Amino acid sequence: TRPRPRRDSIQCYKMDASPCGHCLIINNVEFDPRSELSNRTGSNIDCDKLERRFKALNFIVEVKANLKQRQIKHQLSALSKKDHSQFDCCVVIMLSHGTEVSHSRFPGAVYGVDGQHIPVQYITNYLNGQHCPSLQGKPKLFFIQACGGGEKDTGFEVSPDEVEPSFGGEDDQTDAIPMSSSSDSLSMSDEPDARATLPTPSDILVSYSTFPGYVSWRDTQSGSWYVETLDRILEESASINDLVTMLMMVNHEVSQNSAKGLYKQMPGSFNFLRKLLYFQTQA
Amino acid sequence: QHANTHVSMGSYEERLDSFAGVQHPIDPERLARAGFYSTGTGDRVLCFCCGGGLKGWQPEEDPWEEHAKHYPGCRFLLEEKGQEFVNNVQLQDPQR
Repeated sequence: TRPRPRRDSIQCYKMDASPCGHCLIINNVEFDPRSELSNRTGSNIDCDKLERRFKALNFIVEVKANLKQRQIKHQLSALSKKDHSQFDCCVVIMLSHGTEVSHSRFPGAVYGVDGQHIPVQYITNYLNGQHCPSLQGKPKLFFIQACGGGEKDTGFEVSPDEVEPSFGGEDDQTDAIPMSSSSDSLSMSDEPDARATLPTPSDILVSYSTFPGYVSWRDTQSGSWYVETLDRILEESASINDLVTMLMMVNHEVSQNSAKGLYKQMPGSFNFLRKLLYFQTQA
Repeated sequence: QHANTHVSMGSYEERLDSFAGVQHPIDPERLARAGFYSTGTGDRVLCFCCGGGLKGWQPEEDPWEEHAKHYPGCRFLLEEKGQEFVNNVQLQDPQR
């Protein structure tokens, strides 16, 4: 059978494939004592909620627990090598400790249970148009509940005098057009000084429980503020609202919630989607 | 030609000076305040902090908004404008 043509409307991503796509959840709870990272009690509650939620949204959900950095990379690589041509979307959820890593677009990093971290920009790169052609033009969503982040890491800082901009062809968009710069690393290796350049990422959305470098709160009994709020808002309004609107609602609620307490938490959305995204819900 | 090699452009004055003699559709003061300096080529600017570049400026565009739209992870942007500003720009309707 010939694959039917994808039909995005002008405004919305096509999201009617059944199942809609893959959803990989990486749930890191128990950390190697040598990593000096505490166990993430309550994370299983988050994980179960999101597994149920994305199954309800018609995704093929796969949960992986307690992965080392190398195993995280392996899972992402395996996901990128799958054939997504029958699907409309792909979701990656990371539940772990996190830390601060600089990047102009996707800052932050998440830890494997061995205490080695992987920068978010690498995580997103696994599924970009170049590494995963069958997801080209389709929305790729990343939800990151990363706790901690008290420590500083400037290993990936791009110092401005290293920047050698490379200019692509002129085009006639009506927007200020980003030029590639060396802060976009295409490298899949651990070379912090890779010099490959990337065009603007498109069709990628990264939702962080908190801006990298800030604390993200998790209740050992009820899970994390962010996941709890995200799950509830998806449940209540995925049938009527698009994803970006719902993330705005999540931000509002989480920041209200934290404003009542002693500490603040502001989720962050780094959104390079080109259209509105409505999940499938059983009407 | 790497006009920007070995310049830090960390100060507003330095960035503003980079626009001397450059015809730009946007007020250089606003660009410099938003962290941008001129590369000396057309309307192309770079952020001194994240290295993000922008070209193809429209007169009605706001430098801070464009900075937040394309380079939301920039530290200078987050320090100057805050997370809420960045979120609000990132969670607008897609007009990309």
